[in-house]
Amino acid sequence: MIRTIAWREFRSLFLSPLAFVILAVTQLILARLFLAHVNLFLMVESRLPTLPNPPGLTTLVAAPLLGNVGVLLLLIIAPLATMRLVADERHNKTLPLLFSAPISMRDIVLGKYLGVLGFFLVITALALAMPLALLIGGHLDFGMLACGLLGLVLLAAALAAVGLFVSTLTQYPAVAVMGTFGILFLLWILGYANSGHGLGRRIVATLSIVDHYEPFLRGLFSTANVVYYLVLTLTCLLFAVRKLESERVGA
Amino acid sequence: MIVRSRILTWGSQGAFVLLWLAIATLVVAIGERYRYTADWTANGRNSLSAPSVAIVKALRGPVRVDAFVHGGAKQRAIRALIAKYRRVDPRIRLTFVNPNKHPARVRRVGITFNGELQIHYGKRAALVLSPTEIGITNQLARLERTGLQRITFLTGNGERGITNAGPLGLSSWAHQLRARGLRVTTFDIASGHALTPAAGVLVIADPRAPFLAGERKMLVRYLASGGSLLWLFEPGHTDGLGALMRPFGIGVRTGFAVDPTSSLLTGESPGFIAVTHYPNQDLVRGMHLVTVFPSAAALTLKPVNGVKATPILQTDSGAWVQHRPLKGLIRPKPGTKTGALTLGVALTRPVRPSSRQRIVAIGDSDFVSNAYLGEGGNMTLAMNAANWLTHDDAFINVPNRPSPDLTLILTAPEEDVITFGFLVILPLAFAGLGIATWWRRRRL
Repeated sequence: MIRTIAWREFRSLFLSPLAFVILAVTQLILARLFLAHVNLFLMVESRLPTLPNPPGLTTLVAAPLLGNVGVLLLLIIAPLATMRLVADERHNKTLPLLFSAPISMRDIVLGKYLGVLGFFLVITALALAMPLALLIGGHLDFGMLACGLLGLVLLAAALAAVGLFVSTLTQYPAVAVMGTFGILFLLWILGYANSGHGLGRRIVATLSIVDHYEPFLRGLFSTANVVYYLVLTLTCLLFAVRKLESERVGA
Repeated sequence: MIVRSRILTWGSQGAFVLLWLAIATLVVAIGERYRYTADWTANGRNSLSAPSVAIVKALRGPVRVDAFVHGGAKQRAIRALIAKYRRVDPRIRLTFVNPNKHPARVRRVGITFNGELQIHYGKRAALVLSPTEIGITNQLARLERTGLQRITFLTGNGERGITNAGPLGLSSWAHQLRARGLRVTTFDIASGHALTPAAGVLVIADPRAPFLAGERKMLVRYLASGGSLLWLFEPGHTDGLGALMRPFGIGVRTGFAVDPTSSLLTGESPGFIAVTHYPNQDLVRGMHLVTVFPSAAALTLKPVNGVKATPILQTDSGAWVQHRPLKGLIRPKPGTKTGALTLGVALTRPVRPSSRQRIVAIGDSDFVSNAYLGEGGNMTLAMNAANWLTHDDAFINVPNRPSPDLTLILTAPEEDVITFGFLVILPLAFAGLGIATWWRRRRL
């Protein structure tokens, strides 16, 4: 059942031009940034062997690109792609149909969640294709790349969950966009306030969504960061299920 | 009734949310506390090298690192660097000090660069000029290993003073030596006291008045007893100490060293010498910074039995010596021999079965003066010399670990395919599909 809902959700994204517009714009921006990183690499390439512990193609091209994908997902794509998930159903008055169907709320939420996560994975694959294309003329540090990719997938999973939860709270997609954007942006800029001291700084750093992503990009795997994203994802999904369940009982 | 049940549901919902958030916070906190980290990079970019790990594991107490740094990017870099050490020993703590907010502390500690670190270990503290693994590891090793080292500046014959804050004075260098955990004192040769190896390292920096016979004798006795010496002089100043160095095979050529290739680098007159390459000797090993010497004298080296002398500073091969300071002329007088000149020599001599005497002679005093200490690698050279002379030179070399992906070779067609494919064709394809979807929906 989950799979059917997920597939339906994934396909319905591509029924509107929005998904394609997101893909086209994202690809254009990412390609431009990617080529800029490659140019920079080619400019410093000859000087790299003289540096102590010189960084390579993965550090200078692939990691920044994955970082850019994370930022684009966080700021634009996640709010836009998730805004309609539940809010639209509520707006079109199709939500009672879902409530009356013999499906658990868990299946509905997970199905919709996996559908939009599938879309994020398409974007991830597009971004990944660019550094992989460099294999024709160079090597990559696959361990580091895999670590960055794992981080990006975990980040995307958390972003989709936040967006989905916010979408269950309202009937207006525009409100969902703004809400998701606000929450994610706040979680992002929390990391900027890292000049404080002691416990306050540590709490802020623990909450910051970017501070947990950056170590993955450097090729540093830490279970603490995995736990953060999994807990964030799980919390949002659980809240979404509870919200819809209480609404179903209320209806 | 309805209102009551609604309040009940809201209450239970609220309780659930709070309970769950508490659990989530707990799980994240536990995850932060008991973490497993692994470095997935091919060359271990995020881990310490084996020599550093060995040094950190040998530490017997907690270490505090104060980072005097301003700016987010630099802070993050330093935090990531210290995190490598913390993963080996969590007792290493890092605190940031904003140099703009604590100017008095910056002056007291002797911070000169943004990003300088002060490492506290036990009762001692030392500065690390540049936040790199090699710098931190060596400073940690030094703190772990040595007692208090002493460095004594000779006075009494017009030498450069360590309290002189003018451009030719040595106050900055003395300050930096103290900041790095050395005891800096002066010794007046006319005081009547005897000079003993307890002075630590003796520094004679550019004396202007010739030494008296008795004073010379005192220095000869000091050297014969195995004392360390840093001898810095200036071309054109005679100090009558030439005889002192003769037993070690070192002579000073009269006149000014001139190196035309230096002026290409410095943009100054060719009398202003820049040294860019260093031999594989303990004092200068691993140095890659340019050191500059405004007006220097050249040294000659003669082999002496039992003395191991190594030139540490050399000019390019097109250099020569001339008697008068250079004025506009950038060609040697006909008949002048050109070649690489030696500006600095480090030598060791066994004095007792177990110990070795160390002497460094450099044909320039200006490079450690306040005006030039901050130029290029001058400070590093001055500090290295002090460390080497105090026998504090067990330099720990951190192996270089290059990435496996340092090259990218694309032919022109390959480059075009990548550029156009990703930048033009793919976005256009997506835009086309979007328009097609829109068109289909419009017709429905």
